[in-house]
Amino acid sequence: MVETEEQITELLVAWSNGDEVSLERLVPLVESELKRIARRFLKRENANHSFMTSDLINEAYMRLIGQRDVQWKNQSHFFAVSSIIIRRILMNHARDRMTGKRAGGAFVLNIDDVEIISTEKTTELISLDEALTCLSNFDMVKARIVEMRYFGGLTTTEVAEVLNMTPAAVTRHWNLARAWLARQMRK
Amino acid sequence: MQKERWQKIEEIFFAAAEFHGPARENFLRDNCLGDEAMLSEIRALLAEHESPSTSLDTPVFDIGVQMLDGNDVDKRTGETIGHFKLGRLIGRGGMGEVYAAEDQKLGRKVAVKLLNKLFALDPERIRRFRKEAKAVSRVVHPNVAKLYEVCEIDGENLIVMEFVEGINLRKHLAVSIPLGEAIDIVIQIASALGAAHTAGVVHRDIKPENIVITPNGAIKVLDFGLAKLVSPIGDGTIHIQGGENVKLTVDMSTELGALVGTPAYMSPEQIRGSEVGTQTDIWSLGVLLYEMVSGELPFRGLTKIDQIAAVLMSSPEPIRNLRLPFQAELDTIIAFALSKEKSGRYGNIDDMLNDLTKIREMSDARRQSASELRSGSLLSGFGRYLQANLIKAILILGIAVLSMLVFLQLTKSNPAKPPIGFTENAVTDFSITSNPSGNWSYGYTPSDDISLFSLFTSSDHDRYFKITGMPIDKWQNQDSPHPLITHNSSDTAITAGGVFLPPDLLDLHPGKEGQRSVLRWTAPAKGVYRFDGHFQGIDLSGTTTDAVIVLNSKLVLFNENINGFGIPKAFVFSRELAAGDTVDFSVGYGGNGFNSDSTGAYVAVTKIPLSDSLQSGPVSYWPADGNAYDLLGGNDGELLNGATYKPGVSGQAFSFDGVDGRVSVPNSSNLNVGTGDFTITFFAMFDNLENNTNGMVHKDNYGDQGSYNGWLFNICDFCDEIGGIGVETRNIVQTSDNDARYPKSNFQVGIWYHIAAVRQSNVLYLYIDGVLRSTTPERVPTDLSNSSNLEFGALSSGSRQFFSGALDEIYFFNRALSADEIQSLFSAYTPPNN
Repeated sequence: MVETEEQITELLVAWSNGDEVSLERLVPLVESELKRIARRFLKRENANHSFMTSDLINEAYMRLIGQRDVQWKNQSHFFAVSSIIIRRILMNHARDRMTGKRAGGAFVLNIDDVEIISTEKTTELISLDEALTCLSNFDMVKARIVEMRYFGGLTTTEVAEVLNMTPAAVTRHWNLARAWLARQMRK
Repeated sequence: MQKERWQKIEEIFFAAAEFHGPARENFLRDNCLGDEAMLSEIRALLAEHESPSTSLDTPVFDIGVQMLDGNDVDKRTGETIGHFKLGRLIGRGGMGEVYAAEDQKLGRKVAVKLLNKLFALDPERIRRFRKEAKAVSRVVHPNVAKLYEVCEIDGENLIVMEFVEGINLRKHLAVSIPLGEAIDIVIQIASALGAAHTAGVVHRDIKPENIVITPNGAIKVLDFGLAKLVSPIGDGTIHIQGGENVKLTVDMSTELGALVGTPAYMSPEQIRGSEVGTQTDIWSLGVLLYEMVSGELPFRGLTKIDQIAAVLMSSPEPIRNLRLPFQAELDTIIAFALSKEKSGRYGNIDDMLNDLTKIREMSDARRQSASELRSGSLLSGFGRYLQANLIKAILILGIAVLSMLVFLQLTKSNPAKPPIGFTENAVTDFSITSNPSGNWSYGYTPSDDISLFSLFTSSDHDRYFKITGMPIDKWQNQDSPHPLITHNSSDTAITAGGVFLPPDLLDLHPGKEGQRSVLRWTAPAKGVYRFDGHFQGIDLSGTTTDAVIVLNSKLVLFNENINGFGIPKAFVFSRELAAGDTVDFSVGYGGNGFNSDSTGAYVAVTKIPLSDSLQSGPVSYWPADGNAYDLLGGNDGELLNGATYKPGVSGQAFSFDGVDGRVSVPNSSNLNVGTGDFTITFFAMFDNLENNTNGMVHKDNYGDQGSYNGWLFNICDFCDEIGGIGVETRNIVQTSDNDARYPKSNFQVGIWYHIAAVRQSNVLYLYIDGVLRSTTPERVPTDLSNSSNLEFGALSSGSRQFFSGALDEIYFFNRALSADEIQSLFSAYTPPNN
């Protein structure tokens, strides 16, 4: 089934209204687009271009929804969904790496063993993810802000749009979340 | 944490952040009301808050992007296919992914290899592989990882194998392995191979990655027979360019195409694409043995081509240089395993195993005697020492006699042809090696001080060039009498006939007749340049029989077996296009300015803005007036008859009429062009040009000029590593009508057939055997031959066709496809974004 721009928009609206099921329907659609664009970004990187996650998400948005979306807010929701996806992918990868390490070297068959992230970074990501999940249990808003800023590369203003709050409020949440996470991760 | 408590903490935190020093402490104490836990929590949070940046402050920009493209994103862990529940991904290779899995029917742990879906496009290959798998599954040996079954479930091809825990030998090799252990590993592999060979199974791909060392130290050889999946079937060829992240090339019709993977462990016959047998495994095991005992590969090279050259032509340094114990014995074994000729190798793996076992015995004897000496039981130890050494002496003698016998046998069976390589004294200045048919030669000095010479031999002239002062990796001869090219980005070489102009770095040794020369030339900029017969101001026209201009890194030139014009020439190059780019290209042969019955041919692509003047040097191009002009030789600027192009139509990515063309990339957001994931590649092959007095695609006289034997371009999402994609049409056409240069119907005669598949949005377009088809929503092929949507080089009388849009995949087959196969191609096609 090919989702149309309209459907994606609808899903975004539904999700922003609290329908978590639409998130699960959005993820594969957005994910495949993100991957496709990422691949191209990486090729570009070879040609000494630089990129940022937010560029990537922006482009995915333009492709999937583009100009047709008059509700500018959906773009921010789209960024939020993308942040969630990137977090998931990253964490899957990091966990796999750690599993591999603990197993003392599982057998590898013609694998192109590309070290994308260092072991330290992997460990850090995993503890961040755990801390973030913990934070979301009692403060969903802060967890989501971190997700969007850290994984999705959103700016404070963009986050503020998604969450319908002032940038100052976002900063305030961010400051405490950051402190709490840092402390939690050190535990 | 309780939400209420957290809210309280938050409140106090922000308020306290306004205070500093004792004031803050007082504030905290006043507000926490004796809740010490909360007090210290907030203190700690404030400390974190005021500490310099944390890692959280930098978003995971680049990692996030890389991860999206990373290897592990398409994981299928957790899925159930049939009765196999997939666990973690344990490997990934060109053939597909390997997962640890549970066979829920039998309740055992297995490894499941999910074959790349592209394999399904070649049912014949799958069928053959199944047959092989049947044989493999009968091999039962402790050192052979079992192949349980090969099955197709829900359209997926699965290979179910024994799950082997351990690390692969490649990782193990990272640390130096004691000699005894190395021998032991090789013995176990040889023993595994012995069992397989007895069952009629050849591994074909022995390399460290396929050897696993289990936790108890036992060896398991993986993937028996799997290499057959990518090995040649007759002259059948499959070229698969998967879209997205799959790049798979299985092209066994050419020797170069056979080189999928590292050539380091490949035998000469594998590299040449000739018949593979048990001796092939012996070779690879020899390489492995050499690597394990010496720590280095026997055949080395910075690039694949260098490695190939080494495998085919150089002799490995003897192990004995390395002062190992049992050097002579090891050398003997390695020399027998690494004989370039199959007939020079061990007759069977068991002979090799026997010799290895003898070394192990000697090693054991030595170790034992040493330990006994250490333990102080000098007397008995001394006796055994004597005994052990006696055994050793006898064994050495035995091996020597065996060697002699084999050697005698070898020289007897090949009296005229000493095995290539292994003749140490042959290397004095150059080591000159010819292939048996004598149509190429190649060599270089071992010291690398004279880094390369390419030797062209043929019946009428021998000539070679040597190049001094350049490292070997800069220059390569592609096994042909034709161009000498570089394979790095900075230098270019040209071979051209007749006149030699020695650039600084070239030291020409003219051949008998002094007829050839090599010219080094560096492209001033990315682009394709046509050699117009002039070099450094000197006219070479009339003397040139071949001219090749090579540009920078994106070019690879295939040039093999010029003798007999099997596949005389094919040039591939590619570049990325950006929106708004215009690329003009032309195909021609060395006509004006070259010998009139030239066998040369070239393809040129260049990017020229419309405002550029002629001197930028494309072969042909269309200035703003929309007409095509020729830049060949004396006809510069002449209007090309009949060579037309479709002026940029909005939304059309490409247009060409099969002769000369232009690629225009419109500034359209609907196309995936101009964004880096889009590359254009032109590829051409030419056959039997000696019959062509006027060239197959020369600017005029397209008709009745004898025969041309076919050509085709492809344009594709190009892989970085050239060699991946090719297409050729051969012996297809006898041009008979004056007007239709490439009648579509002619693609249906002759012996080579093609499919070009173009994916555009969700529709798959195929050009199959001269008929354009596309998918319908039901995935049923629809004949579009009367449509004007797609063109693949053919021109049906007067009505040109075009394709447009983004290209993601191209498939080529060099044989006719049955209706069923065509149907299955469409059925197997998964539209993107679904």
